[in-house]
Amino acid sequence: MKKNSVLIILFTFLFQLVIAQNKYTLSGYVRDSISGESLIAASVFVKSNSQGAYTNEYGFYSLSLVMGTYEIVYSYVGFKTITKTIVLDVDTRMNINLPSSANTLKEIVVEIEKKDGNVQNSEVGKYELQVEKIKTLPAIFGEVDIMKIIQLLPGVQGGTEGTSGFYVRGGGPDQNLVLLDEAVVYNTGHLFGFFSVFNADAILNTTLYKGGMPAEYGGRISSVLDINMKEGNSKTFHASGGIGLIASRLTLEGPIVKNKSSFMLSGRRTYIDVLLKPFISKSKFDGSGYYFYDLNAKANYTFSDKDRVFLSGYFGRDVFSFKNDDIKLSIPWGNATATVRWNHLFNDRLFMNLDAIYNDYHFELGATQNDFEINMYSGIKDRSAKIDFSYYPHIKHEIKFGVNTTYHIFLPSSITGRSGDVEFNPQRIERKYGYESGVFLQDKYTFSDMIEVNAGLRVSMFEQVGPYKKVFIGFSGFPEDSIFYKNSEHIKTYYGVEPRLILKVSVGKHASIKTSYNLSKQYLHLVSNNGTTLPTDIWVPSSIVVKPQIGDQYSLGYFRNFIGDKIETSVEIYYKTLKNQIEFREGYTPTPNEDIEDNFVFGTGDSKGIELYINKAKGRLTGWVSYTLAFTNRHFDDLNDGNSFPYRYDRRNVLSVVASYKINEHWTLAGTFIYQTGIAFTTSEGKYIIEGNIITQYGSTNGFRMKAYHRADVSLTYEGRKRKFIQDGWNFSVYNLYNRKNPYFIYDQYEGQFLVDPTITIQAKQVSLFPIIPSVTWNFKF
Amino acid sequence: MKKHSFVLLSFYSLFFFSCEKNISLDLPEPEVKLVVEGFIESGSFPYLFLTKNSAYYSTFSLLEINNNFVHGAIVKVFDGTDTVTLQEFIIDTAGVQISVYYSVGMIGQTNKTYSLHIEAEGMVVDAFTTIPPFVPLDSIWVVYNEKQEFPDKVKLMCRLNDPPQLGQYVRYFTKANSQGFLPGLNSVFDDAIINGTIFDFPLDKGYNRNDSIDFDSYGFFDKGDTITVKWCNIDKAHFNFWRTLEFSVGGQGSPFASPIKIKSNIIGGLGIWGGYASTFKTIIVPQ
Repeated sequence: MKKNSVLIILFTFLFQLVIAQNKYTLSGYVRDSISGESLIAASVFVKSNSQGAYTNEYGFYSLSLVMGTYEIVYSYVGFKTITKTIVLDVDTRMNINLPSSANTLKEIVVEIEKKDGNVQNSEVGKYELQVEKIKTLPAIFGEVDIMKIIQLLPGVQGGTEGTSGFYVRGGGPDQNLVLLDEAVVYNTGHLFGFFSVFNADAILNTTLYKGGMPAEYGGRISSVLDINMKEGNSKTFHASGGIGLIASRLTLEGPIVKNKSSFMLSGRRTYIDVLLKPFISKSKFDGSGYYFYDLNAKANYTFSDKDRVFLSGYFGRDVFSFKNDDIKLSIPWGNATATVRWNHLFNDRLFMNLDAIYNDYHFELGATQNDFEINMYSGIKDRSAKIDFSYYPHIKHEIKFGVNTTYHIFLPSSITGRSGDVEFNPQRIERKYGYESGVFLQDKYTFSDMIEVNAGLRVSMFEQVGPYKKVFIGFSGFPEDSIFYKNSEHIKTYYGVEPRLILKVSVGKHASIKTSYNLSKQYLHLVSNNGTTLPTDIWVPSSIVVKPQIGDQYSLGYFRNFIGDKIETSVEIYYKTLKNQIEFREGYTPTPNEDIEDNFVFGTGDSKGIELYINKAKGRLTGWVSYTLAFTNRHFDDLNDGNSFPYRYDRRNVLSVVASYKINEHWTLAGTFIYQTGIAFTTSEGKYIIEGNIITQYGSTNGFRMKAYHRADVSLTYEGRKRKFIQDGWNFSVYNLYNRKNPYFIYDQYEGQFLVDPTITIQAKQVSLFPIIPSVTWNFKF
Repeated sequence: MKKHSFVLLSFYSLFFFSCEKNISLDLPEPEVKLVVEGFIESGSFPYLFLTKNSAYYSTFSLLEINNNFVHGAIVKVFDGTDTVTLQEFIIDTAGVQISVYYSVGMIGQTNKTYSLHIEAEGMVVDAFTTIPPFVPLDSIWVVYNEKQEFPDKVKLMCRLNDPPQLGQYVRYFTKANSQGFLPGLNSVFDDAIINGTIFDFPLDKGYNRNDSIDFDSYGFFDKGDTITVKWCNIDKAHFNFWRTLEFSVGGQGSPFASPIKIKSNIIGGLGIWGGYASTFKTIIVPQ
């Protein structure tokens, strides 16, 4: 079956190469007429038959049509639509610069592609977010965060209060592939996850796939979040930025060579440490503080209409330091990524993208106390190369294929230290190395006005290689045996054949049914001992002990538009199974210098749900309502006495409302509301006494529920008049408008002392994190 | 508490907005289990306390504590050749009737494994533990003026010559003057980091779990103290019990701590049956 489908795809591909000779190709780039930035997923359509395509992530499109005269419609949210009449009797290059519609900023929110695109395209579970459109929505402390908007989409949810991590259709936080200009971002949070590492000023476009994952993406089993940085204005210099309650931002962009080359440089830094300094400078805590910063940089050069090179990078750090009389602690952590890309057009129908990617995530801890010093280091480093091709043989046909490979270096948590003059360096703790590779082919084919198929196949591989020493621990806890692997020596290889399929059937002009299946494998794992993701969490590779995670997902959806496509609705059901899920064994306590894979247990998971979505993308009032009903469980033979248990984020009901109303040219009022069933947690069930300690006996895993979480936020955005040099504006946000005391965590307080007064009461206390928080941000543009 | 204090501190300093309130949780009653707290030490006889668990959100009163002791149990210890039956003795202290089971018919020896079998109130539990070989401390000494605000406090230092093979597990207790032997907040170690080295390290003064803790002076001894360190080599299961127990107790109240299930070596019950290979070192700190 699998073999056959590969053959069919290959055959169609070759067939198209031959018959394509009788057609002519219209191709080119779609850009913003003011800044010269590429427009991603702009639609290019033939007016007579509404067939067409979208621009790719570099703004390129290609349509192959039989000879004739066509009216081609170019459109993009927030921009004026341009219609061109083209006599196609020769291969034609048509670069289009779309002028922005007046006051684009206020048109609002997430728009799902072109008119009725959500119904007619063969994509399912995909959302595009343009950052400019979310800037009027309320944000905690005024910090606009794309990750928090994503959490409001159906089937997607956030973790605990205020955090930027996300959970898709019952999957774990490590099962989302987060890409920033094609570089994997391993830790997406600043400040224990309260802010994401993505500075909204530097981001152009964000695409989330929660199902129907295209074959070009691999390595994660739940979702893909593909984020593109701004390219920078290729026509004129601009500066923009903002001053907020806890952070300030500044972005510079402009041409290096006008119309050929541009750059973008964006930075932000928090200043809690600076504000607190006067208060602690004379205390014993002088020198303590916390801050984070981000730098995003991108440059590109257009050599010719056929060749373009991009350079982009991200660098971000969190730095926490603590000092008092005898302890000095410094904890920096963060990501760095760099991407070099070359786009090349072989001809009007064949587009190539070649990437070299570097990334690095690490966490460090250095502590000194008197004569005692301890240092800890953990992280992951990647070097990747990637090439992919897009081929557009026919207006009804689009093919993409490519190869990629990554060399991973895993640095497990290791500790070194010094006590006086004696240094100790740990044994046993080994770095791990691995190659992860994939080859894919995906093919989108329109059979008729009614039926469109998007089929793909990805073949993936992971190989753990030396140098590595595997130590086997016996029952007594003593190392009993070990195997040593030399440099680059093969240790263990896993393969995956990952089919991906989406089928769309139109039902009338305004409705369609879409179904999808995808299988994906994941070779890298993040295992967390906490309810939330922390910078100390460590990525580990598949190995002799750890098998790849496997995700299988089926979905079926009905999509229908109303009132001239002004209102888009959908109902989707999904069923997902997860294999080789990883948790720590019962009774695990983090111990330094221990191969953590020896502490893993393995199990399965499943999730099923129904998602309803209503989106109004046009008009003065825009926004969406999404509702998800879902059931998510995990099963581990070695946990919870072998009984299935609910996943921590098994939230039965999730409702999100996002609305934005443009009052006039200057003012926009926006609000969000969220309701979620409380998260599952393990509670204390009994107690007993050992050596005078009251010991908690825990009940079944995640057997108890916190109270429901709900919250409303509002914001008011003012955009000032354009003056000669500067345009500025204000954003006023109120987080948690009705001051709901949402449960953040529950702990027990012991009142009384055992021998002094033998009456001890245990009182459960619920901690709530954020009360009502107003904030104001001033934004400017030069 | 200590392990999480950095996270908690930074957390609270940044998010001083947080607030808390009392809530009541409607929990199911736990299944009743026997809780063993039993030991056999080199050169000493086996003894144990036998209790039961109780519902979590109940108030501990004298009555409940009395009710939790299990009386009339059949308790047997087998050392590979001989079996002894432990007898129950009741000590009345301050209104609490503490029952302890022991037998002087057996003395703990290193390199021996001891099996425990208990039958009580229709429940049966079993366990075994080993007294490993001795790996004593090389020497102990104190350092002065570690903390300016406490000129009379001293820090206890120890030197250990760790054997080359991995897998040493230790629990320690300290005794100051006439006080009993008390374990520190983190009383167990393994040699994963320091394996095979001659290693100097500070040792915290043991602390009574029923006293409130002053973190500023925690761990220090006083000038004039007669300090005895009881250094006990233990087996891995015994180590795991204290490791998970102390981690669990330390993590209470942290938003990032996940529940730690305590690794008991009692089959069918809760608690510990532990062997200690104990060695002692004493030092008198001048005034």
